[in-house]
Amino acid sequence: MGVVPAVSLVCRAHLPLVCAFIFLLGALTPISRAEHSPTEPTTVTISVRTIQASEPTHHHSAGGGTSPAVHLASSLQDLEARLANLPFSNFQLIARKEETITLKKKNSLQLPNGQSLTFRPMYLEDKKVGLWLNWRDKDGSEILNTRVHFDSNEAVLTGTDCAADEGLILAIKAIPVIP
Amino acid sequence: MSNERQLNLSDKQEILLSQYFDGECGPIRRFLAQRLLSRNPDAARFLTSLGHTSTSIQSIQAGENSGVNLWSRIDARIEQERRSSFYLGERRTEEPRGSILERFIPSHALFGGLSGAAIAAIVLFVVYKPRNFITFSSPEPLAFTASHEFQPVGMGQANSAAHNRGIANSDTRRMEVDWMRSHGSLALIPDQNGSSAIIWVKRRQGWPAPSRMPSALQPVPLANATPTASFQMNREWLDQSGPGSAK
Repeated sequence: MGVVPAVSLVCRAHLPLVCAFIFLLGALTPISRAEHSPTEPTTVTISVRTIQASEPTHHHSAGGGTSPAVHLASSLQDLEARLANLPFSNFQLIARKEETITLKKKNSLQLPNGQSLTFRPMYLEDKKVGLWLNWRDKDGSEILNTRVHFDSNEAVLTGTDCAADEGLILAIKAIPVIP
Repeated sequence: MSNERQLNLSDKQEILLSQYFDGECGPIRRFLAQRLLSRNPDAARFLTSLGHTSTSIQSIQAGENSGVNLWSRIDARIEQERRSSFYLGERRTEEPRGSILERFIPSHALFGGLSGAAIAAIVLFVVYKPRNFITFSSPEPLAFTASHEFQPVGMGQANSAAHNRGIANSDTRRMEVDWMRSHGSLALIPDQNGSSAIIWVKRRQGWPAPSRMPSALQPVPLANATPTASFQMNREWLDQSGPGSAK
């Protein structure tokens, strides 16, 4: 007769303790992970290249025809294969900026035309980077607000049409800073 | 009853002594009762009378009526009970108390524990899976074609619902998007191998396009399109951006 109330009493008595234990476990987990990986980078260099695209090619037809020649600077050679997917044939590097910040910190960069790019690297593990981006126009409107995960040795490309036949492209790269 | 009426005790003192006699006092009231007993002989007399009353009632119940006229004492006792109920409410029997721990656990402990467990689960979820927290998962990755056509995935602010798109659903996947929001319409332009994509924002009508870049910000010639050359030519913008931010 007294077994069930006794069990109920024990459960009621120990449930908060179990919850507290789980809380402590969760709170201590990042510490233990950090201790196990002392060399894991905690800072990252965000490189933003601003590229102007021009000379539209109008080759939007499906079928994979041969793409016209793409003219781009040597500093953009690493992006050639990807920029070739855009309907432009000329790409000019406008500016390049780099900021080294710690993870989970937010920072902003001023871009040409008064635009701004706010970013926050969220994590960096196994060469994978999580990055929140907020690209705003001069009037404050959001050009792009996104959260992406990508390889740290690759660049995220995003762009918009800025003039009649021109586009503005941002090549954003996150480079881990090895302590 | 008449004898008890002659006692120099207030109603509160009688109630206090009554509770003390019945063992219903807490530590403070027990201390007060004992202090009253030590200071006021009438209080001790009243307590003794209560004891006699109790003994007499027990004798009646046991059928050992000793011939004492108990009715006056019974009346006194009834009167005390009436006063007690008036001041203290109805007398009730307390349930046996459990352990000290149980006293500190309210009846909502189960609910509170479950809430704590839920919060703990959320915390653990955030700790172990920070990347996937507050994501809007889509079970299927966005399919890409080999063409160069823009593929709109959202139109404008109003319907710029979040997207969680794996750019390629394979081990070669190099880019994942949790969500995207834009004032314009969004398009993903995939790479030829489909492992990554370019996020393109197409401006809607009514969204003013940015002004053309000033002459000082015109692209540098291809031959000089190194970052250094670019910044040398764009001194005006460099000054606006602040020192040390560009390389």
